[in-house]
Amino acid sequence: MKMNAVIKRLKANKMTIAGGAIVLCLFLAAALAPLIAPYDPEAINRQSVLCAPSRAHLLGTDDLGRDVLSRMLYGAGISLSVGFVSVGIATAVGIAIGAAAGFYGRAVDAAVMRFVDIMLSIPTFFLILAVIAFLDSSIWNIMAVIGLTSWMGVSRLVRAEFLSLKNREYVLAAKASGASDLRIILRHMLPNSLAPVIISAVLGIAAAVLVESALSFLGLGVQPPTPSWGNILSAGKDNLEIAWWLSVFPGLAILITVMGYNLLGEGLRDIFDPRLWDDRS
Amino acid sequence: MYLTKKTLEMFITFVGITIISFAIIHLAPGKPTDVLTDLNPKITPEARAKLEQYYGLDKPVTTQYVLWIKRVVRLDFGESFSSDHRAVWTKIKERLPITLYINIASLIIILAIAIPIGISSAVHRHTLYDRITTVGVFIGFAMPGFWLALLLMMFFGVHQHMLPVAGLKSAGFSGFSFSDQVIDILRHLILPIFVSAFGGIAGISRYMRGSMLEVIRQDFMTTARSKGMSSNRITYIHGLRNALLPIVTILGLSIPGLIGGSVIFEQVFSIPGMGQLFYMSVMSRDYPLVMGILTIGAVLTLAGNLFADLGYTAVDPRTRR
Repeated sequence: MKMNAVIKRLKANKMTIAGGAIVLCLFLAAALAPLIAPYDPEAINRQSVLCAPSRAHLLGTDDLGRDVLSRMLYGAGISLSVGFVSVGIATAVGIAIGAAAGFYGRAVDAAVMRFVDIMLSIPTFFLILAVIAFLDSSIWNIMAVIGLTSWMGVSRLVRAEFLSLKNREYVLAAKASGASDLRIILRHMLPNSLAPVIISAVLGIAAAVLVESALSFLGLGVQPPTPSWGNILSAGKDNLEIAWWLSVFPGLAILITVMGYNLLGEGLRDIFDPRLWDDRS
Repeated sequence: MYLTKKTLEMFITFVGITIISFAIIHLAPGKPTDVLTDLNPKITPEARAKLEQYYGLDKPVTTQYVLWIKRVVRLDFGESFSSDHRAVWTKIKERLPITLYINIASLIIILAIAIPIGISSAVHRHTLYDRITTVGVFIGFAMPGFWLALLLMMFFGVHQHMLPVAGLKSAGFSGFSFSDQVIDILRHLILPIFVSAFGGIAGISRYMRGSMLEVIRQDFMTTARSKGMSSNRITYIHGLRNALLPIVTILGLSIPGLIGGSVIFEQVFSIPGMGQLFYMSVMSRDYPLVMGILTIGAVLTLAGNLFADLGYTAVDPRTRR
């Protein structure tokens, strides 16, 4: 596809721009948190427990007197890193498995796709919780568990792309000239199937952010005092009647973040998927 | 023929699921029970011995798996670590119905709301209505279920006192007349069911819209139109049936998410169901209970997929051969 066409479509696509702007803000918030956060996110202050939003604490304070805005800014970094690392793991595993299935076909394909079906029919959230029951709920374990339970979509995409690329002339030519399987996969086939993978990775980050926040909300994810949007909300549930700000702001942050990734992902799909070009819905 | 194939596939999937579940207890390095005891000082030597005996940990892994699966098919998941020492299956059994009712009710609500929304926004594409539903779907996709639950609890429970926000029964429940009891339980269930259905409504209506748009462009729709059939008849008789097919599959795929979600809404709304039991078992590291619920959850998903397949057969005559 011509670069000009991409840029033209990008400009016309408000969804992508809005989503990209949200994600950019998130990066900025996470990167600048140490500079712009008004308070230490983990500093307990007995004098200012559950203060409503005010000039001193723009988004109020939590049940230990910590500043909610500061905790949310630092929480943005946690949310970003969980999203990116777990989707990185999922994408790597998905590409490896999908590529093997699509490239080798036959028995490998049949076995691999059955495994994918099996993984898809386990309630993922149950599986994640069960694994966390056996391991510690450190942030690394959470990233790994989310990643290892969400690669199935990517592997299906890569497999489908590989099946359609397998008999193209340039692949056959590479084969005939004696290139190794790994080289054909990495140099010739993978670059040509990256667009859908990137799109699904962006959408995957949204899902990972939701799972992490749910886990932290349940007290099984990021452990206090490390701030995460989910564990602020958990304090919000305990103080629902007296401190609305603890429940409203972090939830809004999660909603906007997830919407940002979804808009970006869907927008990229519109730009890169030629099937959607004419008669766009 | 179709059903035989499906049953065989389901059997393989079941074996696979049990292998994965079984592997989880071996995640920890060394002997599973060593680490369990380190992590959880509450496990008594007696409980540890029971666990070792239950899993046959002195035997090779394959033997362990075969022994375990033999017990699982008889619904013997061992004994809970908690102080009541009751059998895992007994504990699951008394909490399963409420989880099932809520999940089935939310499935029905998802279908009843999402399908009409999807169809109408496909038929009235590019109108204001379509745009509004599209925005609604994007918000629905991004809404964390537990946050929605908190907001609803705050609005209905705390500020308005309109709906109960926790548990299943009000105080003095046993003194109510039968009809009041039914109304009381339903009032307690409105919010949990709504929260559980919310994400699905967004997802399924989006897929329904896409599927309907695809069908509208097909040749047979043009043929029907050229034969002079009325527009509504074409849409609802010819179009709908074909557009429903992919939805049945997606519905089957969304069952694991629904079941997994029950942990969240049952915990938030204090519903005494299987999800809450699972949460408590994870928190207290009650391993036999964790393993039991994981397996039952997977079996429920399989059952859901089987129903989806049967539904597919009902809508698509081609699969009946």
